[in-house]
Amino acid sequence: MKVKRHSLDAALLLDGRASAWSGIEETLLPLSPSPIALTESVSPYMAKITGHGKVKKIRVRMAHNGSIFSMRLSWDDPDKDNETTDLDEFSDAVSVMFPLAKGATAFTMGSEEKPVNAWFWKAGEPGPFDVLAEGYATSNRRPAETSGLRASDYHEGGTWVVVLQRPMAGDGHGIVHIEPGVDTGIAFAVWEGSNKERSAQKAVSGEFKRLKVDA
Amino acid sequence: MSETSSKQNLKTSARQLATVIDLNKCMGCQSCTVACKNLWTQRPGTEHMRWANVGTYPGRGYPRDWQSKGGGYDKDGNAKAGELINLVEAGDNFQFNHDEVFNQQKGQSAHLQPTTSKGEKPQWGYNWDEDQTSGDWPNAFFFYLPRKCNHCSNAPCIDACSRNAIAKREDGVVLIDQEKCTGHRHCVEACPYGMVYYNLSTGRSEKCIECFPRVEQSIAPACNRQCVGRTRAYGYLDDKDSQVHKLVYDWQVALPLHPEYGTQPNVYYVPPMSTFAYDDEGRLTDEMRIPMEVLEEYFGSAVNGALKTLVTERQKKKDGKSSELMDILISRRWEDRFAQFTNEPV
Ligand code: SF4
Ligand code: SF4
Repeated sequence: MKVKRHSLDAALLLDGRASAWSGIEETLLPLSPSPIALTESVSPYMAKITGHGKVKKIRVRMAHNGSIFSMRLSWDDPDKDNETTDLDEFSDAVSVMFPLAKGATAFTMGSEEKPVNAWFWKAGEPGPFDVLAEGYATSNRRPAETSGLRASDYHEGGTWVVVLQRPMAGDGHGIVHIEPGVDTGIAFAVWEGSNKERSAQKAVSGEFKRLKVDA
Repeated sequence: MSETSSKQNLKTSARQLATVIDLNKCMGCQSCTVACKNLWTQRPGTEHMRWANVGTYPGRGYPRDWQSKGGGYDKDGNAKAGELINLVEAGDNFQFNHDEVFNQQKGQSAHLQPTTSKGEKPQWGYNWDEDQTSGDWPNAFFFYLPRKCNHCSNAPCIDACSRNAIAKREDGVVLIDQEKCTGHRHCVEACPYGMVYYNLSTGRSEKCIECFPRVEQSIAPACNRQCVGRTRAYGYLDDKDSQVHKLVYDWQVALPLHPEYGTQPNVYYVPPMSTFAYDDEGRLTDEMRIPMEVLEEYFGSAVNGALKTLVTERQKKKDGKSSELMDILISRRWEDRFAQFTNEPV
């Protein structure tokens, strides 16, 4: 995947409805059910779950302007789950993950030596979370201010549109640093709330894909 | 350290606190339920929760149908998938038209009545089937079953938590770390006793905390201490002088509920001896009113031996002889029931 440099301002790139997005190339990524049986040692109960991964594809547009990295994610989901009013209801969510070390794996949510950093948006929450993970069961949701992460969203015509944006510079303490001209990796996950998807019950884009970042 | 062994650490404790409840003395007064509710579940999002609860059994129970929702382990120790509990099953949060009846002078035309959290006429609620009997007249039967989290020695809620937010303390109390919990509710599905509740206001799961701030000051948990039926004993299982030890190990009359769930629960029950049944001619027999199959379903096959011991020891008392077991179960001094946990709450 590629992210090109555009001289657009940050505010514009936070608005999912901004016409600027139509000039930015869209990638359609297939999603598949996460390999949940691998989580046996973390939760034998979770590992038994089947029928997850209801969302089958996600559309991604990405841009940076040298200091800000923005991505517009959209996927079809006719049930807007942004409010839990019963004990067995869950909200829709999306997450983008980056490796913090060479060789980190997306399937395991990284490892102690090779952690990963994720930007996590959940419908109905006041803001996104910046997540640091060092393997299954270790993910730590930190407030968005930790990394300057911002999000916007809307649901229209059976489709979610979520924009996630962050300064490219990261300080290295579990916050991914995105350098113009330097490749990194990227992976995506989508949770369908009305299918009771949460934790490892999700649809994923697979192992980290190479992300070419324009200089 | 591998992930499996770290789970084992979370599930293991040096000692184990336990409660014994004598079902022959429970009168279903719900003082335990109310004692708990007043202390712990009056916060937003906890309205439906009854960490301590009492139901009429055999019955659908609370949360409704908890015995058919899976969870726990199979006989080989493998995790058994379970189901989530919804608001109605968990007791809901009924609202009453107090204002209409009491303040708007409509006492003659409007009757006090509940509506569900969704604004409807209730179709189910906490203790909806209270005192509903099983069996056929004249041999109808039921027994009250007070419940709370069992602080299991092999706790599936701990196994289930994908964030390792649940752990056993050194005294055996199982707690959900509210900082780590993100409300995935795998624990709700895994607990075969239906003892984990989701809080819609905080987005986290909660359960009985065994009144740990009291326990740390040697005060018995509120459900145990407030029991007006004096049904309950409390203490460490390995404390040979405690009633819990004597009833569970020495006399073997206090049994875990649904031992087949494989969780090694730490609330133990003295099974109900039940009244005698009538025969077809209406004559009193010496058969127990509650069928053994029913009791075995709840307490396993050990219930046979426990009931025999209870009947034998009771007969000794009737015959004017002494019985240590009966003296324990009577407990003339309430302090005797709670080992070192006899400090006053105020
Ligand atoms: S009763 Fe349920 S919540 Fe309590 S320790 Fe056992 S499995 Fe966990
Ligand atoms: S307070 Fe005691 S007697 Fe009353 S319902 Fe609870 S266990 Fe039974």
